[in-house]
Amino acid sequence: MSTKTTQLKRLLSAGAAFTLSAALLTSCMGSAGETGSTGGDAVTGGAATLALPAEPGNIDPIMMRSLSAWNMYYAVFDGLTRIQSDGSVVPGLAEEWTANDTNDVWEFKIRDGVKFHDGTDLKVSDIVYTYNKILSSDTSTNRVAIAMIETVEAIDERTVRFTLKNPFSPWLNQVATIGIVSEADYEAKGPEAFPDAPVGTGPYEFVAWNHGVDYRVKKFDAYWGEPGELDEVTFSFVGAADARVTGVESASLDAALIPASQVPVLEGSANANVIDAASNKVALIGVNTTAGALQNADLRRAIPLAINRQQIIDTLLAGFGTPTGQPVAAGVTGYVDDYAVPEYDPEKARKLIEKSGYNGEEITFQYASTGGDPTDPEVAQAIAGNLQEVGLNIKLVGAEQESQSLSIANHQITGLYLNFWSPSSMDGDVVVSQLLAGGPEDYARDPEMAQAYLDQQAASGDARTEIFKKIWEWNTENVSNVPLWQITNAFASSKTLSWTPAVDGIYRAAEIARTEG
Amino acid sequence: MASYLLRRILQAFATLFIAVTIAFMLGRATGKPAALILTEGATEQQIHDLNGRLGFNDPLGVQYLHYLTGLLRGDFGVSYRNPSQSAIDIILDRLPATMTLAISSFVIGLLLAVIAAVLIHITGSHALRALFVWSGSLRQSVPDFFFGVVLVLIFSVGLGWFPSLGYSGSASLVLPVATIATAQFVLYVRLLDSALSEQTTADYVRTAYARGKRHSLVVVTEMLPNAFLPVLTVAGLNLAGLLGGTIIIEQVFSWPGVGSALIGAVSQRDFAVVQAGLLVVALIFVVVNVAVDLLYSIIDPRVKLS
Amino acid sequence: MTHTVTLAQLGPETPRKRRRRPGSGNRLLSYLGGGVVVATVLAIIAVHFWPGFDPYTQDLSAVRLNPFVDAAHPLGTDSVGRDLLSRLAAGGKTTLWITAAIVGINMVVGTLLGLLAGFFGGWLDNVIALLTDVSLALPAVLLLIALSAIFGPSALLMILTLGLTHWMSFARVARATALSLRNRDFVLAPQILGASSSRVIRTHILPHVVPQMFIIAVTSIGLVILLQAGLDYLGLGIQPPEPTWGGLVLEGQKYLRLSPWQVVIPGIAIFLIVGGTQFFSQRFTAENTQPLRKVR
Repeated sequence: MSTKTTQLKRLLSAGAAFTLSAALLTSCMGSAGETGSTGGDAVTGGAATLALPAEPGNIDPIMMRSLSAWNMYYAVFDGLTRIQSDGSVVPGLAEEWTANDTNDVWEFKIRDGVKFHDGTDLKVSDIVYTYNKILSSDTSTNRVAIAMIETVEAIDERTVRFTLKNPFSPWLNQVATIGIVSEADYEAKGPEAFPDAPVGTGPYEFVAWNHGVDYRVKKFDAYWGEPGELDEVTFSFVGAADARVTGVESASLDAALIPASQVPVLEGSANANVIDAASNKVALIGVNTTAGALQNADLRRAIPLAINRQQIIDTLLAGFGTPTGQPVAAGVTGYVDDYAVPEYDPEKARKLIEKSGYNGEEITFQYASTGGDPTDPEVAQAIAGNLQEVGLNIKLVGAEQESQSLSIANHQITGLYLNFWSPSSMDGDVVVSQLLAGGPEDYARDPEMAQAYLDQQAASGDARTEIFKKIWEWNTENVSNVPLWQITNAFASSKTLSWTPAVDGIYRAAEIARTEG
Repeated sequence: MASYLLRRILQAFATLFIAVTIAFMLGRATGKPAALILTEGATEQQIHDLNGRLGFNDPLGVQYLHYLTGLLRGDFGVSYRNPSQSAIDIILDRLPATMTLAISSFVIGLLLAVIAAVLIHITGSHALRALFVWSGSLRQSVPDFFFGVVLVLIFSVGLGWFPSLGYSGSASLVLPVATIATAQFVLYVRLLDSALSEQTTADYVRTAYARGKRHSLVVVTEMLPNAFLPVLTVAGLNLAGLLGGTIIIEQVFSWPGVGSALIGAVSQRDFAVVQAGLLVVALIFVVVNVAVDLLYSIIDPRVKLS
Repeated sequence: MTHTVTLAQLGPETPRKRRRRPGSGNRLLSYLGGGVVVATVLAIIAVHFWPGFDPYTQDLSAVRLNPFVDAAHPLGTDSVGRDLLSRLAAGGKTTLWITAAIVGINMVVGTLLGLLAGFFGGWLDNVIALLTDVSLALPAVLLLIALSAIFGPSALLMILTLGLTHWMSFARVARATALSLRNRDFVLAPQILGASSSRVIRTHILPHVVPQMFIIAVTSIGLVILLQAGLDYLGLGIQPPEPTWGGLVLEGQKYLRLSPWQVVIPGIAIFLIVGGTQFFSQRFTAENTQPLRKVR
């Protein structure tokens, strides 16, 4: 325990510096975590099995936008840009790009000599095809992410131009999340056959998808960029957290995201160690500001003060978190340095509740009982306990993860809920849109926020951060949601694996290597 | 015999029909699926159109008819979540893993029970019987999900003998099978023990002794075959329960079976897949039980099929 | 669904030994089993009157205390610092009343259907046989998963689903008894004198069936408790912070290697009830072991 705590402290003290660098640097591969790689010299070759907590319903970069699917997308496909493991954006299939002053026309110059896994050359038309295919699909979950596209067209043999409906400064992050397919190949296979025989341009080529078991890839020899270290990579779908921990311990797995509560268990393991890595994930309490007693702003303002964040992090999360007052994590664009974290002040909370005229009305608190982090139920109970101490009548409602996601997506939350946000685009835009500007988690529907959302899309640099700061301040004042803490990811890793977990928790297969011995 | 067979098969079809109807009602009780399939930005019209294409805008009776006629053609509908895949394919993909687990567990559990029951009756030892029944009951009082984890800690993490998860070769079968088989063990021991005890006074057993056959030989060659029948029947009736129980074991060991597929499907509200799964389980149950009944009449001519 | 046949009478071992008086070897075990169950239930009730009884108040500064170190928490605390003894007792209460409700529904439904099938026979018998097959063919766990997705998990849903899907062993025995009695004089005579069927069933057949039904009920308690634990594992059971024994095992399992007591203690409680009921009922199950053929 003690060594872990000091490690963590070092990590946290490095936090501020890391924050800045992550946002600004453009090429510092492998410098993300303080306690990144394991010992030994990396060697080329070998194989590794990387665990994923969930199997995506579909693994098709046209049809499916899914956190777990990106692990495979980043191995098999390339986007125009690439989000590195530290969260920075670097060139991908596009060598360079330009945007107009208003950030609504973007031109990308495509790299020469890029080969698909089937040996054909990448053409600009493939890129145009990929984007148009998504836009024209009824059922693609990617569509909403690029719905701001007005037109996408090939200007010449090496240039693609996006004309957007509105200014959108984080466009470079957005295109990183769209994997490019070959027009000829996708048209031939169609969305039915493609997921089981996908062709991309990425560092690894597809071998097999055993539904329910794993997804296997092997090194692509004709890759245009830095080749992968491992010869073979297997993404193994392991839902039960217990099984991920024991899997790495018993060498059935080489790496897995594990619940922080299990970290002490791995101390002294022969095969495994724990790598902690800053993440882009923030825990928060969502609030339906239109429901019952929660309509009262004073009552809502009591909630952030009533929760003893640090105690929960220390006792239930083994210290793997940092209290925060904003819904995006350090490293994500939109993060404001030194933004105030609400103090734990149950006395003040009680007074606010008294002032609100609260009459003991029941307030529901929904959370994922299974399918999320196994510690979620305990965290939810601890928070409910805190809220009950200051006089709120909380009723816990557990449901499995997907049910909870559905009621969130369908705007059907009846009170409070425990949720997490980790924007894979590494940009706060999506967080604002979902939580505060008309998305399914925004119950307030405040016109001021709707405008601020558009403003930040048009702005860039410091001006944009300023707007984000205003948005977070509005949220602190009105308590549309209660940011709790930034998650520190805990990965169990084989001692013979050399890698640095990415801030978004998504594996960068090409950057993982075996070590000697 | 022929009329019995006919009736048995009629009853099997009636069972399936009711199961189909229940599955249909479950699927419709969740509401129309298009809002789940489409992305957030979808318009009312798009949702309505997709529901129409999937047949959800028809009157309920018409939907039911379509569903039934579809089933007769082997069409179970497409997965709501992944419309490029048919629901039944998702289930059939996973069926071998579940059947491997269920059948291995049944066979191993039964084998252990046969050894135990035969030992009890050959030695005639009260202590042995108490030992088997006690240890079996003790095992049965431990929830499977917990027992499985303990096995993993001992044999995967501690000793490194077997993989802790997944479905890759026979070594990965050991721990999940051990979990289920030991839970079933006490049931079969008691059945066999009771059946063997019943046989001891049967005429053919007395005859065997009279011919001077050794006690242990009588138990194994004369009594045991007859004692199997009740076990088979119970196992057949227990089948759906066994398949239901593997759902939990599949979670514990990340076993890629029907159970994990169904849990995934339910949590994603993919009721086309849930329906297909329920029907496949019901079909297996019905087929196995008709087979057991027939087997019963073949093995034991004393059993008159009424 | 195979409760009745899980319990075999311990019969004579070998033909050469003298046949023992039925049940005499099991009487002691049976009393012991019954005593354990009664003692456990009494202990659950007693803890509710203990001044320190508080299954809900959390104390994050005292999580996962070991048993027997703090007088305020005799069995230690759980992962959010709640008193484990109180949670064990409260969980026992919840688990046992839900079990009783499920077994009760099973018993009523099974007895009723079995009596009807056995007494009247004919098409009614066929229909009930069909119901039996359907209930056996659809795994209750699966059904409950699907229903929970539609209605949300709740105690009521669990009670109804398990209550209406595990009645078959009751029905089988009730039917067999009714069938064997329906042509006996004391059953036929009142009918000839004009007594209604329902009256004949109530006064002449039911009294013979009820004791057997109670024995099956006792034997099925253990399996119903374990079934609930499995549902807790899948997140379909009673939701936290309401404790159940299965839920306590599940919570404790997360910390198995850090504080094993947290899982061992509720594990022992489950064993006391499951084992106790099994040994208690063993003495009575001789007559229930034979009819292995299903209702037809």
